[in-house]
Amino acid sequence: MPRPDFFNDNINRSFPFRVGTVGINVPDVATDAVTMLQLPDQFIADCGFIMGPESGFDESLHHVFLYEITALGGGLITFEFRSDVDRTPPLSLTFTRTLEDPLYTTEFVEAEPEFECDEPPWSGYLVTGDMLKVADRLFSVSYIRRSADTQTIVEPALIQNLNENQVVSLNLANADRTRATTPEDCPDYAWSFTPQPIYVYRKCLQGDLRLRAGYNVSISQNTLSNTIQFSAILRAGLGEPCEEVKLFPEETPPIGSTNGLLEGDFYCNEVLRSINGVQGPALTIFAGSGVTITPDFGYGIIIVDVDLADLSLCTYSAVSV
Amino acid sequence: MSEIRFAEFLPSLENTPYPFTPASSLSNGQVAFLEGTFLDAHIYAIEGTNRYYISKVEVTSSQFNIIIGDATTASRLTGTISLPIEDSVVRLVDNTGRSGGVLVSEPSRLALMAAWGVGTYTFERTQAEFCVTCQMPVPDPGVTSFRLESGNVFSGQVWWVGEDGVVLSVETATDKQGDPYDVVRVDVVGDPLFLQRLCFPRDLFKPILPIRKIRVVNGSNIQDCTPDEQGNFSLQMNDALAADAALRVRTTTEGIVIEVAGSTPTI
Repeated sequence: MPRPDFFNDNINRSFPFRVGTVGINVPDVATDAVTMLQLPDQFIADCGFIMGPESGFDESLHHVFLYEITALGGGLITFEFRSDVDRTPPLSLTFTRTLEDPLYTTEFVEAEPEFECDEPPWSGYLVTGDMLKVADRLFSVSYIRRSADTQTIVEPALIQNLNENQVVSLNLANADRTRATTPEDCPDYAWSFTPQPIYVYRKCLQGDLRLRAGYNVSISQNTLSNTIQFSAILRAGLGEPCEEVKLFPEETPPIGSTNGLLEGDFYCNEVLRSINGVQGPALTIFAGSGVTITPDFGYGIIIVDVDLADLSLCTYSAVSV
Repeated sequence: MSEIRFAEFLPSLENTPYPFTPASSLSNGQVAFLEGTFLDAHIYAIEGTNRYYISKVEVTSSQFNIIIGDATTASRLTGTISLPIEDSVVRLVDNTGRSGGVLVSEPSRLALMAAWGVGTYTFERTQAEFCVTCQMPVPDPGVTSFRLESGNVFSGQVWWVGEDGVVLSVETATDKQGDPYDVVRVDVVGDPLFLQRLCFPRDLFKPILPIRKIRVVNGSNIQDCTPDEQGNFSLQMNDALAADAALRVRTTTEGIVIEVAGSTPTI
């Protein structure tokens, strides 16, 4: 049995709880019920807790405490510890004993992760004292429950806080691309999926991951500074893409698209962006001397008539128009 | 004379060097920790090694900082105590703000250090080394965090989000033994309509129905003309028959002028 002298001391003092949070005015009669503030020292000899990387525990704000001791019947007694970390449901760790368990029975318990891919929120061990004495105090009540924040607080040095000390998983997502819109009175583009601000590509990547430079990317590593640098460099990595890269595997162009552009709209060579280098959106064509320009707005027609209308004409001319 | 047979845990330590090693002098020759200044300690720096000790205490007018070193660096963890002292537990954090342990004391005991006066007090390992039982090994979980250039640290369930033309994806490859592994791929492909997004307010951008072709109707000859790769269309006069054609097409800042060179009749 490890350190029995230490345990012997502990079942005669508040430890592992803070002084003043347990063992106050304990009834002399061994079968009298007790409150948590009256928790007899001989119930618990030692405990310790490791707060997980996603526990949210902050030792300057939070505590670990014994919340409830419950007699389940059949000789089973549970010790439920909790933390006041603001979580729903609260962080809870339950140890189970039988009346036959010997003095200083030690049990290690790990809380179940809430979701797949999560780390256990916390874990701990509990060393109990004489279980028959615990049962005596529970003879007339089925449980003892904490009733105030100042009760059954575990010594802070018995807690190892690993909150935010580990990358549990890597999750990938892509923000939406800028999607084309249509002018008023024109039918909107429609996709076979509902455009969203963020598309989750993959959740819960764990283990040894590797990085690969795709299109126009250079990835470099500096082992001295333990730094990975991503650089956007034209034609680096896999070079320039020949087609658009999907934000998620099922991404498709708009319904009815003829050019396959994922965001909709047109390629550069599908629309007139300029005529003779003069850009729009409003481009003016002037009719100079000898030319008449007539628009037909109804049909979208511009008639350019080189009619020499206002020029002096010779009977014979070698100049071609 | 009565004797306390089972002293409480912390009071039982107040007249001992604990949590420092018995060999620690607790003095740097200038100032000294009294036995019982600290009652307990629990140190578990995520990147730490062993042989933790108080390497420096910085006392200012508003707070004092306890800097803890280890076998590899003199500045592994820092505990800050604000004045006036109200807390009995000093939280130790590493240089990225992550928890690395606690020092247990009482405000009245910590106040002894405030009496040292404003200044910086350095200690050697032999003067203030923590007991090995106060030093908790930390498992090596692999990557502990991502730290950006800005200094922000991310841990736990970390999300990488590609945006503004950066696309992230995952591929599965196999190693030489045929075991699969995940490869995070980064593509920088741009966002073709990004300028549209910059419009603020958003409805400042008005989409248009663009001209996609110019149909040239020349008598019965009809031809649809499309722009070149850059979206440009050229309007030129035909000079195939004469070196000095009278029809001119020129561009101005206002637009395109189509005209015939010649003189107007004089009246």
